[in-house]
Amino acid sequence: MIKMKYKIIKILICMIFIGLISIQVNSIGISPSRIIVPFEPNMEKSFTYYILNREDTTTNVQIYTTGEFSDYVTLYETSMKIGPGETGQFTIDFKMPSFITEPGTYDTRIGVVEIVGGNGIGAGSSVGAVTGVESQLYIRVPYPGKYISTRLEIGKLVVNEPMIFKIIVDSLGKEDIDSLSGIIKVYDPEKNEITKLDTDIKNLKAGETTELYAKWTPKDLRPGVYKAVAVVNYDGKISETESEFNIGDLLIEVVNISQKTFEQGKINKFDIGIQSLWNEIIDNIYAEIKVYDNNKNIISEFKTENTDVRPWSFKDINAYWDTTNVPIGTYNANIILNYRGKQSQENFEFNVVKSKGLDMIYLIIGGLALVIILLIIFILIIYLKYKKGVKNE
Amino acid sequence: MKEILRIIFIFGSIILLFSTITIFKEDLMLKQPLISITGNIIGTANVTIISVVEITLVTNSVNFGTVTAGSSKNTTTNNPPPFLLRNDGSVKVNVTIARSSNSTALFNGTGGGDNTTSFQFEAAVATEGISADPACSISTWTNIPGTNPLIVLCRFNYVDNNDEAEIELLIRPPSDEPPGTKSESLVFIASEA
Repeated sequence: MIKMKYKIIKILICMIFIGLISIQVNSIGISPSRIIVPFEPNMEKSFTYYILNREDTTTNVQIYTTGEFSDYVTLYETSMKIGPGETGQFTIDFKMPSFITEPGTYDTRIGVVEIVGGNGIGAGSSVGAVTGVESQLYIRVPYPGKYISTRLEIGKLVVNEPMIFKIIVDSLGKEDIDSLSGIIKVYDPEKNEITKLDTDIKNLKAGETTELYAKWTPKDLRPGVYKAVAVVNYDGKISETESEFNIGDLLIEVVNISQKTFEQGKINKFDIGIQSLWNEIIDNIYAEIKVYDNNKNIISEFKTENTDVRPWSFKDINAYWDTTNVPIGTYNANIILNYRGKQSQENFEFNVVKSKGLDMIYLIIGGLALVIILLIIFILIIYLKYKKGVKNE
Repeated sequence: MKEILRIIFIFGSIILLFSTITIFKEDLMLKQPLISITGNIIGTANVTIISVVEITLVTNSVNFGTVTAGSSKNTTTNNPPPFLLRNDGSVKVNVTIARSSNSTALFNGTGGGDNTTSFQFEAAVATEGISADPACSISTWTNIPGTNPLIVLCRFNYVDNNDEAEIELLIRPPSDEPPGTKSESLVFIASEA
């Protein structure tokens, strides 16, 4: 009895422990997120970093360095304990190499990761996780003359509002740029150019970063994946970058069904393949299926269970059609998807055929009957032979 | 009548006092350590906001419970729920996934170990909608890469109400996996995109 009680208490403690860990949240931050330093041979510099712990518990962290020039970083602390809601602070020293032959950006990281003890938690198969953050220490070796790198960022599409195209331009050359401008070409899913947008015009000093903007309000575009190509002109030179974006519509389409032939007299399971063309999860989707005969009379009507679908993804919905009392033949089926007060529909041809299962039953019954008849004949022959033998005696 | 006026006066004073304290508190809260404000008496001010990389693992463990060797289980039906990551910083980030160097691989039967189909992940959209760039995030089942990190979320957004993403997991214990408790620790590292 005492052992039993002890066991129950043990299980309860384990459950509470697992529960406590399960609801625990891991969070960690580092600031600044990036430092960009122009290369100067043998230059020595100190940098201060802040570690953020916004949780209600104390966090133990490990501090590390990695990347191309990690050997040139001096870390004075490799671990730290940060109290709940507190900000830790540490400083590193960095001494640049005496020379770097190739121009470009060299990436060194100062990282902070939560210290985890052992494997994951919980009974059975379980997976735990911790978080870490890295601050980038970029050393820039300028290119000769004028040189830029570009990135294109496309803002979120809001109906009836302009989309914002942002080109981030880093001047990586030794010389300043007097005139910097961009053109953004937008291509539809069939790769046809549908519009061309001009950005603003700026100048840019060597080693600095700027942004060029263009706006566009898309109208009457069908859903799909579009491409934007940014061509940046800097004092007669060209740099290109591109990015894709989705034009969505609150639309779910019936893409296919797993079968069009159904057996008579049973509950047939089949899948309705759907695709979302929307940027958010759509929940409470269900399909109504109406089956019509040749005279357009509804002979069957059924619904699927409610489900949800993720943005821009495919999903199969299970449907069940009871074909008891449905005559063999060809029917028209209308599948109607219902979601967020909208409907989309698709028509298919359903064929109801003789059940293979029934044939098998008949075959078994027939076979059994044949065996019984043969058995009776066999017994009769033996009986008659036996009777003849008795008479002869 | 006088009593009623007195009560109204007392209540009014209390409300005024509380609102003053609240305003004072809000004013204090604005003065966070990572925002420095310098200015002169005339009224112009320079504000420097230092960028922060910060991620939160809202769900930090996935417990599959008892799983039969040779079968498979995943988190896509929310049973068990997947990892939920949130970008609480002030910049877009790339997030990598890897096995923690302090941890061993989840399964060690035939076909188990690092970078095998016995343990896979994929990035998925949380209820807030698409928050990372689908073109460079991993949204199909991919082997957990051992201790060499892989970018799972690319250009993960930081703007509130659109800063969460799920990391789905799939396990396939090898058919000759010895019975017992199996566990692994993963590490998610974020850096500015």
